Amino acid sequence: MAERLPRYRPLGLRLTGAPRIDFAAAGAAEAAGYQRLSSALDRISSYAFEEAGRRAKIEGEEFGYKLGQNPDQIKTALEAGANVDDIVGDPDTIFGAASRAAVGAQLRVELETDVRSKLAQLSAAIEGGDILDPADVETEIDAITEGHTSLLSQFGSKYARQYRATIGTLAAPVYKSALEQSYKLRNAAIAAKFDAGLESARDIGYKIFNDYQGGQTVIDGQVVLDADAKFDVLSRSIIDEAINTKNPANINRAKEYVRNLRTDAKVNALRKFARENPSDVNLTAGLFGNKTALYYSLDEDSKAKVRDEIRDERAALYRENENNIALSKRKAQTRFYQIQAEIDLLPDYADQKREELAIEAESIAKTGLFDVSQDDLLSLRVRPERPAQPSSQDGIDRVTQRVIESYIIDIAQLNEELAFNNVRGKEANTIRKEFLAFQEAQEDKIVEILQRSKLSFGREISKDVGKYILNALPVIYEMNKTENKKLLSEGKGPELLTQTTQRYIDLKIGETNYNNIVKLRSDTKQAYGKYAPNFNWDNSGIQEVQDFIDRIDTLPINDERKADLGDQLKKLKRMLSE
Amino acid sequence: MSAALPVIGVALAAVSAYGQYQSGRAQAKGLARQATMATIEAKGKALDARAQGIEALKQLNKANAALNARAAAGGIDPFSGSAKSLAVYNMSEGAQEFYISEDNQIILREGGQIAAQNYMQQAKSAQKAGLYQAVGTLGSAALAYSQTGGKPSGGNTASVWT
Repeated sequence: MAERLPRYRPLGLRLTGAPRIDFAAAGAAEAAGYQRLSSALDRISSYAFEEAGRRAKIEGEEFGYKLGQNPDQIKTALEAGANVDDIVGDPDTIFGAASRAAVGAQLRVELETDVRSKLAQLSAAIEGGDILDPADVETEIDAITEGHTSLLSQFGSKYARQYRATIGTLAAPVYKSALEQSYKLRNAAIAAKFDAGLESARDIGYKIFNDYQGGQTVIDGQVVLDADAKFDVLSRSIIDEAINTKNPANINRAKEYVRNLRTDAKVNALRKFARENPSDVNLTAGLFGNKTALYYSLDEDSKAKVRDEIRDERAALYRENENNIALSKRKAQTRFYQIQAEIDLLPDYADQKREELAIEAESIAKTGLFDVSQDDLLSLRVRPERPAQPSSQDGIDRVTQRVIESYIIDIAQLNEELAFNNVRGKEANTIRKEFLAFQEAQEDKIVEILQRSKLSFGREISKDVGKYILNALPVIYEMNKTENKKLLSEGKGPELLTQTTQRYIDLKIGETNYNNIVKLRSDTKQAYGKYAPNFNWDNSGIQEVQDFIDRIDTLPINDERKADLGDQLKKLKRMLSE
Repeated sequence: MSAALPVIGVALAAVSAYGQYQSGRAQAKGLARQATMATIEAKGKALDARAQGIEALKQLNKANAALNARAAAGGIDPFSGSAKSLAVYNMSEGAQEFYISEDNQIILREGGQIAAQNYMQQAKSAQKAGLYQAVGTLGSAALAYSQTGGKPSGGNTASVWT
């Protein structure tokens, strides 16, 4: 038996299982921690947002309230193209929603206030008597309402609806008032038209009978006057107008008016005919030419009225004619005697005036309104013989003084003054000579003043200054005459010729031409003086200038300059001759 | 202060969102580790099954050795006749158990892998859930912030309307 050999005895070791660790639970626990943290933060965050929303709502309402107080500015902004969201805020936000609601509510109140005010104005206007067309009132209210509604609808249709409802309630009585006023006005207009119709009917009615030529027509088997038939149409028209007024009083009034008008118009037509055709009328027989039928269509009272009125009218015409003749006679006589008196008082030298008055008196005499003797007519042209009287010393003094004071400026005026002041003969001639000498001295003085004003002294006067004085003299005399007329009419003393001359100089009348000539001379001399040193540049006359023009071709200058010099000289010549 | 409130709300919501994100991440990490753990567990069990297979082979060797020894001691040819039949029988039984242990290894390893994949899937879902929750919180905060609103740019009464 073989010995059992030692062998390894296994200990029975086995692989142990891996320990079971729950990582998932650990992760879940960690996650739960985070979740709790998040939940806590979420609650705080929610609170923050809720609080922010609450405050945003309050701020939005405040903002909207302030904004709503300026409807005009909102309207302007919207019309300018602004977006409503840019004005009130985004409606999707708490602020914007609150703001929009507040703006809408406030804006509605503001706009309603505006409209109330406007409606109050309209009411006051209607009550005050202003004439307003209801259609215009409606249009105006609608225009305002539409504009406001459109504005409000941008902030919410609710506000637009509420606004429209309120305005509808407020505007109804105003519109009603306008309608009532319009109705009253319409009735008044119809009544006025009716009244005006009655007024115009008078003329038409009168014309119908004035135009009547005696014609007749048959209506419904009855013979009636043409004029009556026409008048019937007119009366129906008047009564229709009265019916249109829907006023029974007007209808009765129209009927009575038509009745009276027919009679009055016939009476008037007959009276007129009698006035214009007196020879065709026989009042006793009742004949009125082609209007006789008209006379016989009247009742007896009216016929008597026609007769009486025509007689009265004829009597009045006769009286008026007599009065006119008497008045003309009185006027003619008065004028004739006036002429006689004027002729008696005329001075010896006033032959022309005497002749004019005599012709007028003769023409009055020829009217035959009153009797004028032949001697009276002949005596009109006889110069009254007045005894010669010596010149009055007072008159001489007065005339002399008036000459010196420049009240008298020409010889004709002097003659009148001499006669008026009883200065004649030798004394008068002496004053005339002194007057002429005085005038001459004055003219010398004027010339001296004008000459000095151009810085020209002595006897030698340049041609330009001479021309200046020559032009000035008539103007100064005319100025003096005009000014003195004015001064004398104002009761003031006359202006001396020397004073007028100074005024002429001060006003620089006549300066332009003189200065232009001097300047033209100077310019031309400067440009061309060296080519013609012998020419009298400063004081050449028209003939000298013309001679120089004829000699231009001999000057040592080119053609262009020759032409220019020629133009300048021609211009100077023209100015000297003006 | 009123203007700061929405900002505070947003800030708190942002921190909360971060917490939610971290929560998802923590859960995902735990599940990922759990997946690794499941793999390791499966490998351990597979090794147990392998050890059982080895034990079966050892038992087979032991039975056949005893059979050979006893047959030889009794003067019987152990590689023929009944001895051989017994040895074949032992071989058949032992091999069957060995193959069973091999199948067990496969089943355990595969099962562990499936469990690990399952855990990883859960981890991904948890992370995504955390992320989505965070985004939701931030979105809500942004919405609440924007809903608060304020004065419009052109709506300053002092500067524009007067």
